[in-house]
Amino acid sequence: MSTPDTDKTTVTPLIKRHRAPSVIWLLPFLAALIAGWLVIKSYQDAGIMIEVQFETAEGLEAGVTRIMYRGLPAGMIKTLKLNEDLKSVTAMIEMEKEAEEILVEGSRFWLVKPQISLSGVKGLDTLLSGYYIELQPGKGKERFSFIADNEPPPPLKNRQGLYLSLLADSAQSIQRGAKVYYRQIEVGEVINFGLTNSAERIRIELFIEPAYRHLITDNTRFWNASGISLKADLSHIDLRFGSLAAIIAGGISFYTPPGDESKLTPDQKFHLFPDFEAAEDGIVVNVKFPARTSLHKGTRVISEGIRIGRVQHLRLSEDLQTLNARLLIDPRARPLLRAGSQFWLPTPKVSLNRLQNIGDLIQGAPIILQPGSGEPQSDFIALNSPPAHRPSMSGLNIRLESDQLGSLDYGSPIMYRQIPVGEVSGYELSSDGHKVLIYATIKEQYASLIKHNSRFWEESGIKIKAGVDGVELDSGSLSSIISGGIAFFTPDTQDQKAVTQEHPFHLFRNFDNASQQGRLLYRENAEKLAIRVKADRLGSITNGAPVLYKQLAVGVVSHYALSADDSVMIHLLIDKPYRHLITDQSRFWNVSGIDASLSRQGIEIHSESVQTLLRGGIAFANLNEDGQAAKPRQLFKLYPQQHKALQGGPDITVTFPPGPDISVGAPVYFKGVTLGKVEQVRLLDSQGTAETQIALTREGRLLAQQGSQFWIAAARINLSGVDYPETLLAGNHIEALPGDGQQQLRFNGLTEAPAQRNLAGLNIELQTTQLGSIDINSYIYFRGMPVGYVSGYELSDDHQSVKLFVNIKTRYRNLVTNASQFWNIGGIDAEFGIFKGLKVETTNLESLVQGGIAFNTPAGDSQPVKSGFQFTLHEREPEQ
Amino acid sequence: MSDKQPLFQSARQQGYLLCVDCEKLHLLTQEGQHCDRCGARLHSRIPNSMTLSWASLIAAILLFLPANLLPVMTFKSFGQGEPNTILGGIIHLLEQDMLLIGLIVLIASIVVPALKMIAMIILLCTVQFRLHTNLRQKALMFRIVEWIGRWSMLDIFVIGILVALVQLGNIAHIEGNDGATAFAVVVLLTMFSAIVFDTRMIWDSSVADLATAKREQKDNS
Repeated sequence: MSTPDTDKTTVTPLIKRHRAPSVIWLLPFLAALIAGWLVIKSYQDAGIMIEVQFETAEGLEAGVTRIMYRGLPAGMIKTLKLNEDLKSVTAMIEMEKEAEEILVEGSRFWLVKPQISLSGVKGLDTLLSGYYIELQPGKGKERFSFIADNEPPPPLKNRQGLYLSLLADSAQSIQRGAKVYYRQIEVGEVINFGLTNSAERIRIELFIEPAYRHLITDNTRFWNASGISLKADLSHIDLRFGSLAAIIAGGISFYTPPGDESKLTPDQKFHLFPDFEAAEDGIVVNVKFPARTSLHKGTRVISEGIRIGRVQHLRLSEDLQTLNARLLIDPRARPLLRAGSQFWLPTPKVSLNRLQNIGDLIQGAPIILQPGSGEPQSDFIALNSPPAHRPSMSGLNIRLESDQLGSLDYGSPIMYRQIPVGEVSGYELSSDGHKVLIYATIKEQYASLIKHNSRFWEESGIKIKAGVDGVELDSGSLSSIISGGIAFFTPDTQDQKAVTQEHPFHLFRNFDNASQQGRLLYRENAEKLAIRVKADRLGSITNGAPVLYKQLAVGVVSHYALSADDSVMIHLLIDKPYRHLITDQSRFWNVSGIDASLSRQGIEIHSESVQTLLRGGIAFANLNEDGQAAKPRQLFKLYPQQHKALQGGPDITVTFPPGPDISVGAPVYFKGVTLGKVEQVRLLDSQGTAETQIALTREGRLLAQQGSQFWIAAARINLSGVDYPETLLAGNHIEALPGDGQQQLRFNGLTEAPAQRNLAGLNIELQTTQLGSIDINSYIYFRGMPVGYVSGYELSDDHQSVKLFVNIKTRYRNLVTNASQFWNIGGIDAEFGIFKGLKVETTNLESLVQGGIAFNTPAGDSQPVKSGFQFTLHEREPEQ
Repeated sequence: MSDKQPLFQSARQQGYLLCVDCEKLHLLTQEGQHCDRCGARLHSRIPNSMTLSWASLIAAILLFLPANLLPVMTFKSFGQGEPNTILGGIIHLLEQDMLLIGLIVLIASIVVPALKMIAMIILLCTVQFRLHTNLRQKALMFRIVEWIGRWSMLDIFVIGILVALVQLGNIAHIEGNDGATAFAVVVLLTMFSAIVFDTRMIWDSSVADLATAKREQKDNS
C-alpha cells in the first residue's frame, strides 16, 4: 500500500510487512496437539470387548453396569442382548486395556448385589452405585468369552493369612462369610464350603487373619458356634450360644489347648465338631460293648475320677450282639488310650451311699477307663464287668482275704475310726476259688495307719437273719448302712511294722473277731474300761453310739456282734474318768429311738437326746452306791427300757385260768402297792387261759416266792357294793399275795381272790350245810352292828359242808368266845301258819340282800377264841 | 441479492477513520497514530483481525473435542461416583426428567458454543472469500452470537461453585476435571475470536466491489 519513497522530503517510516505466519497460529496448533493427543489416547484406551453370558439380565444395564476388579472399575457393559436360545443373555463388555491380563481362562464373573444379612452387609456400595460385576482372574490362555457365575466364587487364597480346611458332617448354619471366632473375637471367616470329593463330608474353607494365625496349631479344635444349643438334663442345664451374629448367621469357634507347643503342619485337616461339647473331647475311640449295656449318647467317660470324654455315637452291630460306642476323648487324655486300657460300665445300682450322687442315678453310671500301658490304640473291647483289681487312686494297695464278699463293692469305703481313708478297688475269687480277694487302696496320707498287724473287719450295713420264726431284718441306724464297708484298726502292740505292698490281710467278719473279742484294741482305748452288755436285740445302736450316765456321755459303743446264744453282744468303752461309775449294781438300758407305750394308764412317750434318736445309745444307772467296781469285759444285761432296767425284781410268769381279762401294762398290786407290771400276755388255749409275763419291781421280789398267789381283780358290782371300783377306770389289775417259800418264777393264777385266812383281826371258820345267801363280804352282825365280814368260803374237804371264813375286826375279837353262837340272818324268814298268821322276820335291808350272819355271845365266863376256831352256823337264831 | 444492497461508501473509502474508543473522526492518514482526543491507537480496521479470529476459532474447534470428551467434573458420594462429561451430565439430567435444566445446560454448553463456532466460520468465510450474500443477516447473527456467547461460561461457573461448595468429605465431594479447563478455553477462544473479528470487514469487500462496479459504470458511461 505505502511504498518506501526515499526521494521525498518527508521522512516516512519504513514499514515492513511481517510476512511470516502470525504467532497466534500456535494456538490452534496447540489445540490440535491436545486434541490429537486425546485421540491417540482414546485409541490407546479403547477397551477390549468381551462377551459374558449371564443367566439373566436382571441388574445389568448397558452403559451403566461396571466390571470391578479389586474395587477398581475395569470395564463396563456396552450392550446386552438376549441369546438365541432365549435362556441367557450376553453382555458385551468393554474392558479396560489394562485388564487384558486377567481376561484368561478360569476368570470368573459374577454380579454383585447388595446382601444384607446378620453376618454383615455386603455390597452396600451397590445400593448407591448400582450392581456391578466382579471379576476374579483365573489362570490360562487368553479368552474373551465367559459364562458368569450365579454366586460369588470363593475368594482367592492370595491374601496374607492362613487358609484352613475343616471337615464336617454337616454344614449346619455355616455360610460363606460366617465368622470364625476365637474367644468371641472375630479372627477370620468362612470363605467357602462344599462337599468333599467323595461327597461324604463337608469341606469348609476358612481364612484366618494373619494377626491370628499363631492361634492355630495342630491340636486346635473347631466347633460350630452357630445357633443356640440347649442341653438339659436333671443334673444341669447347659445353654450355650455364641455371639448374636453367630447365633443367626452361623459361626465357627475354635479352641487351642493351652500350652500346646505344636506347630501347624501344612495341609492339616481339621474336624469341625458340631458343638462345643464335642470339640472338648477330640479323639474318637471305638469301644465295643456287649449289647444291652445301658449306654446312651452323652454317657460320660471317666478315668481316675476325671471326666475325659463322652459317648458320641452308639450303633448296634448287625448281629445285635455288640454295641459299638464311639467315644470322644479329650486329646489331653490321649496317653490313656493304649493297648491294655480297659473300659467298662459299672452296673448301676441304687445303694444308700450312691445316693449322694443323684446325678449318677439319673444320668446313668459313667464309663470307666483304666489306662493301660501298651501301644497307642483307638479300638477297644469293653469288659463285661469291672476288672478285679483297679487302682482307683494312688496310695497304698492292700489285699484282703475273705471267705465271702459280703456287701462290699467297688468303692466301699475303708474306714478308720469311721473316717473313710480308702476304698475297695476291686475283688476277685482266688484262683482256687476258696477265698475272695478284695483289693483296696488306702489314701496316701493314711497309709501309715496300716501296719502289718492291722486288722480288718467288715462293717456292713444290714444283717438279715432268717430263722424258723421268720425273717428278721436287722439294720443298724441309717448311718451304719451308709458307712458300711471295711473298717480296720491297728492294735497297740510293740512290734508294729510298716506293710509292704500287697501284704495279705484277713478280713474278719466283725470287730469282735478282728479284735479277738476285744482283746486287741486301739492304743488309746486300752485305758478305757471295756465292758460288754448283752441284749436281745441291737435296736438302733450303732458303733460310736454314746453311753449315757444321767444323760452325760461317758463312753461309746465300740462295736457289737452276735453272740453264740443268739443275743447281741455290745461292747462298750467307758472313758477313763468315768470308769468308777460302772459297778456290779449298774443297770444298762437302751435309749435308742422313741419309747412310746400306750396303755390304759395313758400314753407314755419317752426319748433321750436327739443324738440317741439317730445313733442309738445306751444309758445306765446304778441301783445303789455300794456296788463293787466292774471288772474289764464284765458282762451286763441290756434292758430294752429304763424301767425294766431299774425294776430290780425278776420277771415271773403267771398263768391265769379263763376268767377276767388282763392286758399288758396292768399293774400288780399287793396292798395297793405296785409290785410289778404285766409285760406280755399270751393266750394259751381257746378257753382263754392266759400266760402273763410280769416284771416285778425290786419290792416285788417278795412275789417271786413259792406260795405267792395271783388273781385278776376285776370290777364286780353286787348288792353290797362294788369290788375294785378303780378297775372300772384303769382296767383290770392283778392282785397278789406274797408267798414265803423258795424263789419261784412260774405261778398259776387264781380265778378269784383266795380266801384270806390270815387277815388282821380274828379269823374264824363257820361250818354250815348251805351257803344260802351268804357271800363274800357278807357282814357279821353283833347286836345289829357289823363287826366283821365273810372273807371267803370253801367246801369242806369231805364236801359235806361249807366252810365260811369270817374275819372279825380286831377291836371286836373279844366278843367271840367259845360260847358264841352264829346264825344266818340272810333273806326273809317268813313263817305262815293258819293259826299263827304270817310272820315275817328280817334284820336289816342290807343283810336281806347281801346275806349276813349274826352271833351272840352269852354272858358268862367263856373264853375268847383264837383264830381258826370253828363254829357251827345255825340256820336261825337258836332258842335261848 | 447484491442489487438489494444499498449503495454506500465506507469511511475508509472516504479517507476517514473513526477512533474506536471515543469515536472521533480522523483522517485515514492518521492510521497507526494515536487519537487526538483519547489517545487510543487509530486504525480503520482491527489489525490482523482475520488471522487472530481464525486462529482462535480453529483452536476453539479443536479444543471443543476434548471439552466434550473429557470429563468436566467428578461427583463422588460415599466413595462412589465417576467423572462425568458434559454430554453425560446432560443425558443424566434428561434421564432424570429434569428437562428444563437439561435443555439449559445443553444449550449453554453445547449448542451455543457450537453455533457460535459455526457462526464465526460463516463470518470468517464471508470476509475471507468476499461473499456478498445476506450480509445483514450475518451481521445480526454475529450480534446474537456475541451476546449469547458469554452464557457458555455458565457451565464453568457452576463447576467452579460446586467444586468450592460441595466438599463434604466422604459424603459428597466434587472435583473439576480437565474437560472443564478445555471447555473454558473453548469459550474464551470463541469469545476472543468474536472480539477480534471486525464486523466492518463484512462489508469492506462488497463496498470495494461496489466502488469498482461504480467506477466501471462510470467508466462505461
